[in-house]
Amino acid sequence: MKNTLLHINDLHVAIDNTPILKGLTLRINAGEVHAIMGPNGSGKSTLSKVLAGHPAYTVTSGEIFLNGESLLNMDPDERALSGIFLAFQYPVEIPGVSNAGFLRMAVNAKRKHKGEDELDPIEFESWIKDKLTLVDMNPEFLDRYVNHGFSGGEKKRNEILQMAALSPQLAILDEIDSGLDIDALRDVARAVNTLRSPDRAFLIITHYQRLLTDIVPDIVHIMANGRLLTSGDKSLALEVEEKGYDWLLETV
Amino acid sequence: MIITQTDTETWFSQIEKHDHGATELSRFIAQLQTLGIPRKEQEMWRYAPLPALFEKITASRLGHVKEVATAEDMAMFQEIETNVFVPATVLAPSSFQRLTLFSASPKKEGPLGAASPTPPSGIQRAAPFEENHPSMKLNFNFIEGWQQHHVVVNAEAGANATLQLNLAATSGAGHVLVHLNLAHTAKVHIDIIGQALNAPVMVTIRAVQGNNGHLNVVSYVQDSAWFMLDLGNAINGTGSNMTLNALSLVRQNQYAAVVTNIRHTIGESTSSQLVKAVLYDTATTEYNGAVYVAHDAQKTDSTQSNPNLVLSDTARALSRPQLRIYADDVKCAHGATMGQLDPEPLFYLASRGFSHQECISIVLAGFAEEVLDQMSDPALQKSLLADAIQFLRA
Ligand SMILES: Nc1ncnc2c1ncn2[C@@H]1O[C@H](COP(=O)(O)OP(=O)(O)OP(=O)(O)O)[C@@H](O)[C@H]1O
Ligand SMILES: [Mg+2]
Repeated sequence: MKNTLLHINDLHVAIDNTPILKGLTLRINAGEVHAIMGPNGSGKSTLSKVLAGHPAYTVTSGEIFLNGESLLNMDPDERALSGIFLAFQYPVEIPGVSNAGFLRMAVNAKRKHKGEDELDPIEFESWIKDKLTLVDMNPEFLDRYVNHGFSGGEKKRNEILQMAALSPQLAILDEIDSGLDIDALRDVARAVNTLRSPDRAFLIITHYQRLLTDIVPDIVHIMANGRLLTSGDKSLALEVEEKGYDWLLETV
Repeated sequence: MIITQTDTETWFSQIEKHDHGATELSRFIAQLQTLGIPRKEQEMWRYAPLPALFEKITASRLGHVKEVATAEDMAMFQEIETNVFVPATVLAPSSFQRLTLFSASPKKEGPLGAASPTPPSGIQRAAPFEENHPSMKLNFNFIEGWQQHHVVVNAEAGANATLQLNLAATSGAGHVLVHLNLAHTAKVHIDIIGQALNAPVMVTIRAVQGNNGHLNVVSYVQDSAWFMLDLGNAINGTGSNMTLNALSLVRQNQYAAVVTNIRHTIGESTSSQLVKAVLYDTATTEYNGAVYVAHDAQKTDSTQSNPNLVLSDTARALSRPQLRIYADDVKCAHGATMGQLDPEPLFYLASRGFSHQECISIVLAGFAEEVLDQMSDPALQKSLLADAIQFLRA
């Protein structure tokens, strides 16, 4: 019997009274890697933000459980502390806030939550070293402001660095591959593969099959118009890349 | 000539609008009248820009300078005056061989301030910048009436000087006029720190830059009844760069303004301005930023950014970035934002495990820190950041 980590049941979500997710059901077990593909505007980022608790979206019906506990009444920070991590499609720049300070505070918030000792700046500096190596990121990025003036690819690397530092139970990667060059793509895939473990799961949103040859998913879902249309193994991603989405939309 | 400066009439109407404006106003007017700045009686003054007024007054009292300054000082001073007010030519570095600072108090009354290098008298002649640590701290505490101080900094080729102006106005108003000459390759950094300014305070900077030099101005003002930083800089050389980083934290019926007039006369020079404000209650801030790029000033690169956090419905942030560009191969960008805290950074932080209150504190501290990080001294950065955070928490 596999251990269900995330359970989404018949989820309906609206923004400003416009329905975006229209009955989405998904179950992710610990240890699994799921991929979601789908046309632009189908609701992939909406799903990721709803899971992280973005206040602009209203859940009109349905349920979300993480480890059997309902997420819907939790604030975003409580969800993060319970193990959800979202790598943003568009990471936000926060001028004036040092990346190192931010990351250390986030790590410490999590450690405190788990009853572990907090790290002082000097301890943190050595603690973060192998995470930087894992994502092949220059330590100089820690001295800059959070994502401020980072290139598209550097922002994505910084998301993966945060994921590695916060070691979430469920990591949602929203188009982590967009804007990455070949080397960066390989580094990101390596980092994700290194972090795969029996008690952690990944939900990977992508438009490209390329990422999924490096991070091999257990299950691929196709999303359209606020629902999951169909699911399959990794070959579904190849099929979609070859034939597009139209044939799938027609059969439904 | 671009005139963007606030005139006396606008100034008065701004003061009048505030809640306790009437009392404040009568106090300010009394202060102004001792200076002979009229209100409506004399039409010619009515719409005169304030800096011009102040400069006139300073100039009319230059007699005092003559009393004490050496002939050499005066020659230099006049040369600076000429070049600053008619910034048309590139200054030849040979005409400024010394790195000297002096400050003049045209009115005999009132001390220059606690930590001033010399005791109060008609003219304050500070020790020159030391050769290896060319930094100078000037503390101005305006206690009564209206005081004016004139600071002249003459930075010779290769000089690297830091000037720190600490402003306090316990119960008097004040004007600090800084004339700056940057010869080729000279680098000058100015920190302006104003806290608890209970009466009107104005800082006017008139600068001229030669080739390959740097001018960095950083301003932090917190709790100002009425404050204006008026920065005019003529970049008359190529390869030169100017930055302005300013932060105003105001509440109640306070007012803080930044007025700039940056002239790129030659080209291949850069200027960047980041003027920020956080406003509570019925406070008002103003950014009036003019950038002028002369006809042949190709490859000029200029940016202006004016983000304001308006944290109350009754506060007002006025923004007027203005570009006058007469060259075709230039890069000029300007933008202003007004509003409450942006929800997206708040959500980004929350998704990393920070509570709502922590997210707000982090974003506000970052808003202040981006400017304070530019202050010359790390210890100063730290203490001002602590002050700013305390202000933003209250
Ligand atoms: N704040 C909002 N206001 C109005 N509409 C929104 C808002 N956010 C999302 N939408 C709409 O919801 C739909 C789903 O958007 P979403 O960003 O989830 O799509 P996506 O599948 O991630 O697309 P992409 O592949 O382009 O990233 C789109 O039609 C979008 O315009
Ligand atoms: Mg998306």
